Amino acid sequence: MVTLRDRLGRLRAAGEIKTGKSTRRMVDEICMRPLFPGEEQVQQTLYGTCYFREIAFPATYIHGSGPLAELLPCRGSDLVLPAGDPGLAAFVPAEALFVDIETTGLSGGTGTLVILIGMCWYREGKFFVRQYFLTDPAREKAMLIHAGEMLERFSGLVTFNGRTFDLPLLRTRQILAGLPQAAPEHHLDLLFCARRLWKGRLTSCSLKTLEQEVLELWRTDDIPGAEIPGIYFNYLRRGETERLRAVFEHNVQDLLSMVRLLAVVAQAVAGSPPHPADHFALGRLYAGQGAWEKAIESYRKAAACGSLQVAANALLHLSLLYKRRGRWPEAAGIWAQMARAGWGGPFPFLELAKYYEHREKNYRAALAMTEYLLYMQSRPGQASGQLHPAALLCRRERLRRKAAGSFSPCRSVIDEEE
Amino acid sequence: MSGLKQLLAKWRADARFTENVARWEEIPAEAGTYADFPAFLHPSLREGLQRRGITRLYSHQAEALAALSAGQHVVVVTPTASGKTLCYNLPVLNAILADPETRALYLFPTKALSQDQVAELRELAGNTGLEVGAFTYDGDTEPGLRQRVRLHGSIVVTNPDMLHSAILPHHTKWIKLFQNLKYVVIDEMHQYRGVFGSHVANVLRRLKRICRFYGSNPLFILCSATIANPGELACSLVEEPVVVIDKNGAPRAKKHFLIYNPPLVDRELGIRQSTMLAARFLARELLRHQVQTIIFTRSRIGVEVILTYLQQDAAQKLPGADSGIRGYRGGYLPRERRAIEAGLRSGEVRAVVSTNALELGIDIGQLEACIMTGYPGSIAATWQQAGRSGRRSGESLAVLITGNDPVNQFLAENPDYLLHSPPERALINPDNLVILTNHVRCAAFELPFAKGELFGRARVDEILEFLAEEQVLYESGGRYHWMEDAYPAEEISLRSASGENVVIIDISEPQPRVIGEVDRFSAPMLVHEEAIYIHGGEQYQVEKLDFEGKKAFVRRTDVNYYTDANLSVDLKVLDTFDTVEDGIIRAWGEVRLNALVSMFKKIRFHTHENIGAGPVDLPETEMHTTAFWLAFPQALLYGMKPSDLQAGLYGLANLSAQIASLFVMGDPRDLRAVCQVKAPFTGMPTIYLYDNIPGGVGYSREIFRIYKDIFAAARKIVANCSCRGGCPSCIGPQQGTGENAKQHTLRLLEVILHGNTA
Repeated sequence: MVTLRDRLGRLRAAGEIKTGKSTRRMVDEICMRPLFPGEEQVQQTLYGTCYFREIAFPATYIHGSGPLAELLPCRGSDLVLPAGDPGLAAFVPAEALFVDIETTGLSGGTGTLVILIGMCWYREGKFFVRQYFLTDPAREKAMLIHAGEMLERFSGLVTFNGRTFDLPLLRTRQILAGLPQAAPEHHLDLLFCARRLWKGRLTSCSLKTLEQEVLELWRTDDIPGAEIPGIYFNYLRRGETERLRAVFEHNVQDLLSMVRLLAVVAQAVAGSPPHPADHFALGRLYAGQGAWEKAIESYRKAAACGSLQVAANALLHLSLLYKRRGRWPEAAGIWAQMARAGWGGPFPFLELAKYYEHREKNYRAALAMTEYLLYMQSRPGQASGQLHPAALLCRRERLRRKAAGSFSPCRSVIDEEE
Repeated sequence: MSGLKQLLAKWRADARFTENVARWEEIPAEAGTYADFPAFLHPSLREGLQRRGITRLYSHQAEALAALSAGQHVVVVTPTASGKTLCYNLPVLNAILADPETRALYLFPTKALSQDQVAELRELAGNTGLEVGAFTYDGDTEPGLRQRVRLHGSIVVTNPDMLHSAILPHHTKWIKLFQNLKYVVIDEMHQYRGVFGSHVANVLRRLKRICRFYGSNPLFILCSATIANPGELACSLVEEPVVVIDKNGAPRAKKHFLIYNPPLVDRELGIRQSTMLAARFLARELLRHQVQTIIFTRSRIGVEVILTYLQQDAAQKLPGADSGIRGYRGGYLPRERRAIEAGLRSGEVRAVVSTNALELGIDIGQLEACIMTGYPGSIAATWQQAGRSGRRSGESLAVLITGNDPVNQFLAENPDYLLHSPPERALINPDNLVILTNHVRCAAFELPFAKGELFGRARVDEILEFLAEEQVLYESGGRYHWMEDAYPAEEISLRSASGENVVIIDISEPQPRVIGEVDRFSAPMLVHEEAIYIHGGEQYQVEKLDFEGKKAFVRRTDVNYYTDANLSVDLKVLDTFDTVEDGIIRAWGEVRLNALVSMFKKIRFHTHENIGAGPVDLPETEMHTTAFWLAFPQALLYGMKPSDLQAGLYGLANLSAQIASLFVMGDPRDLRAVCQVKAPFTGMPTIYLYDNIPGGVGYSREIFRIYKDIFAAARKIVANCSCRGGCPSCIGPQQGTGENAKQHTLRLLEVILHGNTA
């Protein structure tokens, strides 16, 4: 008689059943030799053993472009704008808990385990980092209870992509362990802030890119996140702890970068962003909030930043803002400046054509702009996505009629300034 | 007199017509049986029904409600258009009216059906003035809406694939649903047979496991077309006692059921007029008499061919006018489909040519006539398609046009099989080792397994240990934890036995697209390089087969040949589960198949000339499955020459695989045969019928049980076939089987049935 085990083995050999790659025997007993002598604590709880490691950094510790202490003066009110969350006005960054987790996979779903919950907070001159580690899946509940208690002690929580990754996963684990799922009063997701500030300037908003481009930090000896599940499986099955240390270290670095990133975000809003081009992103955020004066100020700073592309874009947005606010002379001045510099393609000419026609009633000048637009469009290789030829021809006809019907002096802002 | 009545009278009087009619069955009208609304039906639901003109229930609806209110699972088995949907919509809405937190999950085999159901639910709920959050949740659901469905969907309408790959693995996002789940509705239950059904049974095991975790214990409401074993199938899907409700209380009008066997074109070769031409003839007559008609074809290309014919005919009569004739099949846009459905209901569409896409419960109203071009594959499907015609009052017509192959000819010769024998048993094998193991993986991903925990009714300790050894699971603290950086549900398709299928990718257009898949075992045969792969009536040539990467790249082509791979199959018996010796020896057990394809031939259509060949360089494939076999002791074969025996066995294998698939309600591709003149295992001439599915899905066991019926049917076909030495309608074309193969096959069949050489 063929046993079930034989059949399973044969089906696997025939490739019908998928299994793990490695076939080495697992170790029966997980031997948890000290990983970080002097830094570890192992607590016995009702639900089993809970392991954590705790270390501290002085506030003066330099991580990337500055010391951790730069977090301390940051104000929650400066985070309202980048986070798009008015509730953060009451949030105190120096009293927040930074959280970052490591897992057995990125695919999500109920089969992904949280293996390390890293936390960082400030108290009395020091930044503390505590890392709860899942020494065995059977001890998950103990870990979650302890980590949950820590989370409840803080009213504010800071994560990087916590909104879609860390917090839902923790929540899933808590549900599976039959534990309540507490929600913090304030939650600041730094990925969300970073995207709103730097999406235009940076190729990506991964923590790695942000570290290099914003924090001026290059990690050495870091392990790629994708290797973490494998390292954990090897630890569980074979008791390999060598590379586990690197996972803890990776997590510490993440947490410190988050502390720094929050400071840089708040400073940017307070007026000193890491790069002058960031004023443009700030301008857009202010404009989105209806804070016109602040938006105008930011666009102006961006226009003076030295990068042609950023400056042109800033001027374009600034002019549209003036237009929307009815500040016509300032808007027209910018269009003229852009037209002269050749920035923004047909945009400034079209805006000027409308401006002369409807505001100044200077039909000849408007006609001149329209003719120029038609000329631009007729040139080969000219991208004319923004222009509808029929609309332009129609505009020309109308202006010709208007110009013939009423006298208007043939001058324009360009002539005037020249 | 209605157009249909006139036409039927004309046909009856026409001898040239009636000589092709193998059976003209009149199914008499039946009065309805009714019951009052039960006392527990919420007043506003009562009013809502009355507003729709429903003042009482059909008896089966009332029975279903009563059983459910007594806390019993039910399966409702009544024909098309008998008001089946109320059997589940009423209890579900009633429960939601009593407690708005109540949740229900509806499972339909296809997306189109889900959409239709939500529309109907909303209408019924609207009549009762009830705001019911009924949503479809499938691949088309917008990401923005998904969160809302998870939290606020009182009724979530989805399909088993979505439940398997998106809902269960993320159950923590669906707490509200699982905590408050009161009803699980499974419509079109008969679709869940074979591999698909075996998968779905395991998905339901997972669902129930998750429900237990959240403290809910839902009742199952299943609905099915007529099959022989609805109670058994429901029971093996739900793994709990299920009350069968199969007494239809809906009234029925008179129906004419015709089996139309197209005339023989070539008696010697056994070739008949094609079913498509016959369909054209019948449809033209029906349209001429203003009879709204649906024509079912077996393939997408069939839809296009018949549609073209009918439109040509219509254009001849009234050039330029809208013929009111439409095609309907997968691949049409949802908007086009909705328009056709509405047109059928309003009468604007006079005829529709459809694949079986319309066989399921999509609401198109009731038509007067239905034409089936070829046997739809099972008795259940035949009645479902036939049920598309038939109004509450007035007569209706259903015509089955029988095709050229043995199964169709068997039905033409034996109309009683179709009309009066119980329909097929739907078989599933949830404990197929491959399928079970794959779902244990998914279940472990969803919740750790406790040692000794049952999975449904299955003991899975050995599987859990095996998976732990293979480092998929990690055992600690008496529980098995998922320990892999993978999402197992993604690798497992419910529509095939193993996740190891070769996908077929069409690279004709700049944007490559997946058009199908074949199982790994059959891949060397069907999609070797240069093979002509036929899909949806289109020809494709395989340009490249990446066997390791499990991808075949094909390009559309149009050639006058097909390819046939030379396959040598080596079958080895590993284990015998049961064996009976009375003259012949019959048994079933586990086997290993090794298949090697070494070359292929190009064969011209129609003439079957061999017009070329090429080598195939692919590794041997191996499959473990179950098989049924029959061995013939030499004493019973007295006087048969080895070459005769060979020819007879070959014909018998050809025929019996096809006939057996008829009896076990299987897809003909899922059942194959091989024969060995001197089998190493039995030492005798032997034919094997095997489940063409790794691990087997229960066909072999069923064949072992009902082999007599199968081979008796086979004998009838061969004995009654008008051909001389064998033809496609019985044992296969002569050039494949050899001269007189028919006689030798017949002799073997006598041996099987009577144990002697008669």
